[in-house]
Amino acid sequence: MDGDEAALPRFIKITMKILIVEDDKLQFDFINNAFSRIWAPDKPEIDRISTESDFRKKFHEIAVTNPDLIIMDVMVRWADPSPNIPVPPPEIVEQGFYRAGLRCVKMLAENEMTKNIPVIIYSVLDKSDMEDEIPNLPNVKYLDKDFDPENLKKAISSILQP
Amino acid sequence: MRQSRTRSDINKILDEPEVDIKSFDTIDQITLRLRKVCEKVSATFQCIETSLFLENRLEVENRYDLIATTFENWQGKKGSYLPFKEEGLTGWVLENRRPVRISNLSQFEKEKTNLRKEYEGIDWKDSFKLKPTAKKYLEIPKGSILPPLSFMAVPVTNDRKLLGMIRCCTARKSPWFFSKGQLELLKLVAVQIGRVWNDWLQNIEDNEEKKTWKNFVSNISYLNARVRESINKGSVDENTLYKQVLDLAGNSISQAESMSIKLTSGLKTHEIFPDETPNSSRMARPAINTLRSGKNSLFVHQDSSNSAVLSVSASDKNGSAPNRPANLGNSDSESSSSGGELNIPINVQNEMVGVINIQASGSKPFLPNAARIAELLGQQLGLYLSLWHSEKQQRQVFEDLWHQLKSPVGQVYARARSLLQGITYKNWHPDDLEIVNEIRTEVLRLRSVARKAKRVAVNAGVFTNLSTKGRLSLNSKAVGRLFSRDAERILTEGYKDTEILQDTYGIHFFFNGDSFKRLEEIKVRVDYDFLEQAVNCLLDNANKYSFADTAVTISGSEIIKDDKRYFYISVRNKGFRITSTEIIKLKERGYRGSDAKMVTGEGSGIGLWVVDHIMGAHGGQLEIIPTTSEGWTEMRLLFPVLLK
Repeated sequence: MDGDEAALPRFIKITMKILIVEDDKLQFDFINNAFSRIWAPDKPEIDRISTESDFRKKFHEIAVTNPDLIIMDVMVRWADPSPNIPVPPPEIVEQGFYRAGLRCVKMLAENEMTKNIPVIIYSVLDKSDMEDEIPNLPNVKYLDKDFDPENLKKAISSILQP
Repeated sequence: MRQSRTRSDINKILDEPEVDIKSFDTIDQITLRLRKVCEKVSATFQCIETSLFLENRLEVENRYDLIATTFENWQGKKGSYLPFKEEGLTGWVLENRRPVRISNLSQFEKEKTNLRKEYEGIDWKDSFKLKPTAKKYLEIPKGSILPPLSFMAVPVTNDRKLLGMIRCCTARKSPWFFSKGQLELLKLVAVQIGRVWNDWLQNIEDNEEKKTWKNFVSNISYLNARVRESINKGSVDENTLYKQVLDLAGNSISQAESMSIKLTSGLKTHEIFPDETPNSSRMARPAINTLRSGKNSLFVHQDSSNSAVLSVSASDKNGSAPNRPANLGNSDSESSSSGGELNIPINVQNEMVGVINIQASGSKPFLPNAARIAELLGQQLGLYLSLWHSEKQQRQVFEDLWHQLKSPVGQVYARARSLLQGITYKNWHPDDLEIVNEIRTEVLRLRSVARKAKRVAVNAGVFTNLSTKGRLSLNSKAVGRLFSRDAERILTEGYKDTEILQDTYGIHFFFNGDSFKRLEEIKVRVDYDFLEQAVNCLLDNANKYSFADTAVTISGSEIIKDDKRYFYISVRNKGFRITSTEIIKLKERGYRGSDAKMVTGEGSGIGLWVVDHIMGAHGGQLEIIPTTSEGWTEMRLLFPVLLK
C-alpha cells in the first residue's frame, strides 16, 4: 500500500480492478473463480472483453479506468458473429486474426496512459513462439495457461509487487 | 568431264578428305581451317583478297563476323563484322542471297545501268580512291591509275538458311576478270563451307547441351538434397531457396544475363544478376558453382510490379498455351539484335503463383535447351514450394491441434481437482440438493470441455491417418446399426454440451427427436465414434458462426439422391452466408472463410474436411446447402440406407 492509500480514511475500501481479455466463456469463468479464491474475501472488480474489436473500441475507457491488472489471452477473436461485423483495419487483415492479444498488448505498451498497466499474457501458446512480439517491459509477463490457480496467483504477486 | 574437273578443283580448295569437324573444339581451330580455305581460293583464282563472313549464332545472331581472310594485316583479330544491312556489294549478297560477279569494278560507273538491271538494287558507293597502304599492298605506283579489279561474292547457306558469304577480289595488272565458271566453282565452295560451318556449330551446340544438361542434373540433385533436408528440418528459408534456383538457372543457361522470380502472392521480386560480363569465351567457360559460393551473384528484393506475370497473362490471352514458358524475345526476327527473354510460370497445385524471368544479354541468343531448362526449373520450384507449403500446413495443423487440445485438457484437470477439493473439504451431505446441483453443473461443464478435447483428439487422429495412409477406414468394433435412441442420445448430449460452451449472446438449439423415429424402420450402419465426431463438428460450427439470438435446429430425414437412398442428420443455423461457390472450398483442408476467420481465435480449419472424409468412409456424404433467402444454412450428414 503506497502513501496515498495509507492516507485514505479506513472506511474507504480500495477494490482492485481487473480486466480479463478472454474470448472463451468457460475459461473466463475459471479465471474469475480463481480470482475469487485468491482475493477472498475481497473479490476484485472484474471486467471482461471478449473480442479485439471491443478492446479497440473501449481502449480510451481502459486508459481512463486504468485497471490494476490486465489478463490477456492471445488467440482472441476479432468480433462476435453478427451480420454487421466491424471492418478490421487493413493491417490487421494482413497480419491475420491469430494473435490478436499480442496486438492489444502492443497498443497498451505504446500508449502513455496505459503503458504502465501490469499485463499478464495468459496463453496456451509457447512463450518461445511469440518472444519477439511480447514487449520487453517490466510490467508485461507471460504465463502458460495451465489453469493452475496457484501459478496464476504467483504470477499476479510477482507483477503487482515486484 | 567438266564436272570432274570442278570436283577436283573443289577438292584442291577444301583439302579433301573431309574435315573432321568434331576435332575442332574452339572457334580458333575452325577459323584457322577456314583461313586455309580462303588462301586456297585466293591461290586458285589469283585473288588479292578472299574473305569469309559467317554468322556465329552461338554468340550473336544476325551479325556476320569476319571469320577468315587472306588480308595479312587482319591477323585473326576479332571484332570485324559485317552488319546485315551494310550497303555495297557484300551487303547486297547477304540481303538478296544471290551470288554476284563484276568483271571490272573500275568500270562500275560506266556499266552501272547494265549491272543494276542484272543485280537489282545493287550499289557501289566506294570512290576507288584507295588508301596509300592499299596501293602499296597492290603494288600500284603512286599516281598510277587503278588496275582492273574483278569482284565476286557468294552467299554461304545451309538448308536454305543464310550463314554468311564469301567474297574474292582480283587485281592483276593485265586484264583478268573472274569468269562465270569461277563463280560457279565459288558457289560450290560456299556450299561446302556452309555444311562445314553448320556441322561445327551443331557439334558445339550438342556438346554445350550435353555439358549443360550434365551440369544441370548434377546441380539439381544437389539442390533437391538440400531442399529435402531443409523441409525435413522444417527450416526452409524461402529467400535462400529462390536464390538457389536462380543461381542454378544462371549456371545452366549460359546466355542468361539477369534473372528474377516474381511472385503474385508475396508481392515480392527476387532478382539475381550474374556479375560476369558476356564475352565470346562464355561458351567455353567452366561452370561456376554459385550454389555453393553464391559470391558471383547479386540478390535483390523489391516490390513487384508483376510485369512478367502480366506479360505471361497477356500472352495467354493472346492464345498461347497457358502455364507454358513464354519466350518474349524476338530472337527469331532477323532484324533484331536482342537476346530475348523467357518467362516461366511457377505453378503450385495447378495455380500459377509467379514466374521466373530470364533475360539474355543484348545480343546473345538463348540456346535451344534454355527454354526447356527454364521450364524444368519452374516446375521444380513449384514442386519445392508445394512440398514446403504442404509440410508447413501439416506442422501448422498439428500445432493448432495441440493448442486446441491443451486448453480443454488443462481445464478438465483443474476443474476436476477443484471439484474434488470442494467435495472433500466442504461440509456437505448427499441430500443437500443445492450442493448436488452445483456438483452436477460442474460435472456437465467437465463433460462439455472433455467433449471438446475429444473432438480435437479425434481430428488429430483422422488427420494423421489421412496424412499417412491417404484414406480413412471405419473401426469395425465401433460400427453398428443406428437406432433412434442412439441418435437422440448423441445429438442431445452434443448440443447440450455445446450450449454450455457458448457465450452470452444466446443461441437456442431445437432438437426434433421424432424425426429420428424412422431409424427403427430402415437400416443405417454407422461408426459411432465417427458419427459423434461429425455431429460435434457441425454443432460446434453452428455454435461458433451463428448470429446472436438465433436458433439452431437438429433433425433427421430421408432423401433419394442420385438414385441412392440416404438417411440424413441435418443441422441448420442462421449465421454467415455460404454461397454455392464456397461449398467445395469449405471441404478443403485448412480453408476458413473470411468471416469465419474473424470470429474464431483458434482452430485448425480441418473440421469439415474431416467430416467429409468420415462421411466418405461411410459411403455417404457431407452435403452443404447454400444459405437460403431466409438466412438458413444447412449441413447434412447423409448415410446410405441399407437394404434389409
